[in-house]
Amino acid sequence: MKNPSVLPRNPAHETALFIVVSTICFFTALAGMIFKSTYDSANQWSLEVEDQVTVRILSDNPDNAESLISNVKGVILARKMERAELVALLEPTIESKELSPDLPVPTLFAVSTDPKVSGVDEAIKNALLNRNYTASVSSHAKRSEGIRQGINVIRLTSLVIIGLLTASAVGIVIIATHSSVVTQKHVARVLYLAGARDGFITGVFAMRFWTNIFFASLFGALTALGLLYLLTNVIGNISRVDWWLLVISPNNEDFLIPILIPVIASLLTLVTTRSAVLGILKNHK
Amino acid sequence: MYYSNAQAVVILLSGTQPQVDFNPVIDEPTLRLDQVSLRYKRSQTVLEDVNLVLEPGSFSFLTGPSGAGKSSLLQLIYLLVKPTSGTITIFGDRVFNQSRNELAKLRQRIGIVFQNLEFLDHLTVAQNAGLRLQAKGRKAKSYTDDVEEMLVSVGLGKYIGAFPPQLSAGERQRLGIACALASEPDLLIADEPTSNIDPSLSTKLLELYFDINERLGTTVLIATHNANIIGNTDTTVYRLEKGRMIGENVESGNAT
Repeated sequence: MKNPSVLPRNPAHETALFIVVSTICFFTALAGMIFKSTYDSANQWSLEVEDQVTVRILSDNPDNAESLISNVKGVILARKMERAELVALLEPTIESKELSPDLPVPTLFAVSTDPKVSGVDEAIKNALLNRNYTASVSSHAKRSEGIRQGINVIRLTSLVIIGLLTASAVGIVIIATHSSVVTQKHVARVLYLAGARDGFITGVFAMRFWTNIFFASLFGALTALGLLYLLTNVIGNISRVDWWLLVISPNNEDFLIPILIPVIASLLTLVTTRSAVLGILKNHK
Repeated sequence: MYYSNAQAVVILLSGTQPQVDFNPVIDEPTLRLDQVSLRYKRSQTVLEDVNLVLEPGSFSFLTGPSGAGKSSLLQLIYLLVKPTSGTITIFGDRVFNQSRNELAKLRQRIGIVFQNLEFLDHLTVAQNAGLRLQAKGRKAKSYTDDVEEMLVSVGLGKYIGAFPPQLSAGERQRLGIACALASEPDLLIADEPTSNIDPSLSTKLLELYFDINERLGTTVLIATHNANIIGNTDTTVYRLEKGRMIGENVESGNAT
């Protein structure tokens, strides 16, 4: 024979609690995964741009330029771009079919640099000038700066949104747990007057609310995970919106978020329940 | 005669006096209050220099007008409040040096029937009666039979599966007694147990307390403002007025 449940069931209250907690956890998990993924993508773009330099040789005989650039300190790799690559770069402004085969295209070198070495672009320019090459070196500084600013905006926005959602989730879990305990405080009083130890009474409440909040937050977080899966695997596969995958491409770390949320919500519930019940019991001593 | 808990359970469940002669347990007073005063924050003194001794197996009344401090004194005895001064010794232990858990353990040895009884309405009468045992960590199957027999002994046999809201005032009082007795207390205290029930039921209820005292040897203290219910019983009667113990009469039930 099982011990009877000392806390009465309150289906209306518990259903409302489930909906509220699962909803806020859904938004927190979804926002967390999307912003983490976007943030990672933005960082990746930034790294890709910051370590690249493009060298344009205007002189007629650029044959030795490649080895000259390669020998500059801080250069990891220097590669002369093929005509096809250059044509591809021109495509956005000139349709490729309209390009004449004998159209003179500039000589460009794609140079990968060591991010730890500063002033590589100046060093390349000086090295080329010393050998009488007329060259321009672009470190994409303007574009890099733009991306950096964009990343900072994303970082700030995501932190504010995640912070607000997390604070809301924490607040809702605490308020919901506290109000649930208070509405049943007569149970704590009856148990206390029956000689129950504080640990027993807090255990009765903690077990009920811990499980309720855990399952509600798990449901919300898993729903968010499911939605993100749909976004990346269904919508992302539609060719017209393939930009989406550049922005949202979650990795394994991102999927830790929906696991962490129920754990944190449950721990929060345990602490709040214990504190609320002990607060009620304190009035009896 | 005063019996240990184990002996008391045997007597309670068998419904008869023991055939074998248990060695009576000679002990210190069940309860001793020495110069106990109680004053709540920002209020007048509720109790002042109260002395009280309850011997094991005794039956006593605590009388006095409303507001005399009877309920406060019972709360002190049940360790719900701490005296402002003075000492309380229960079962030989001086209390309030203990932790909250130790106080809860001591409280398990005291049964109390409050004036305003509170039950868990979603639990059956039997489940409410077993709450003290559940709170001690015992499994339901280990005490269900004992609790049901106890409910029969207090006249609630036919209400075992009922719920508290279905009970009358007198039956709720009986359930209160059953709840208090569940943990086999050495001391049973009741606060105005007859205040909400009619006189004929009051007499029956009082008989139940006497029966418990006689059969189990449980020390009983009943607080009441109604001196009529004491009648001509041979009990100790303590009288409290304005927070002071002003009299004690052990010869008859007429409070002085």
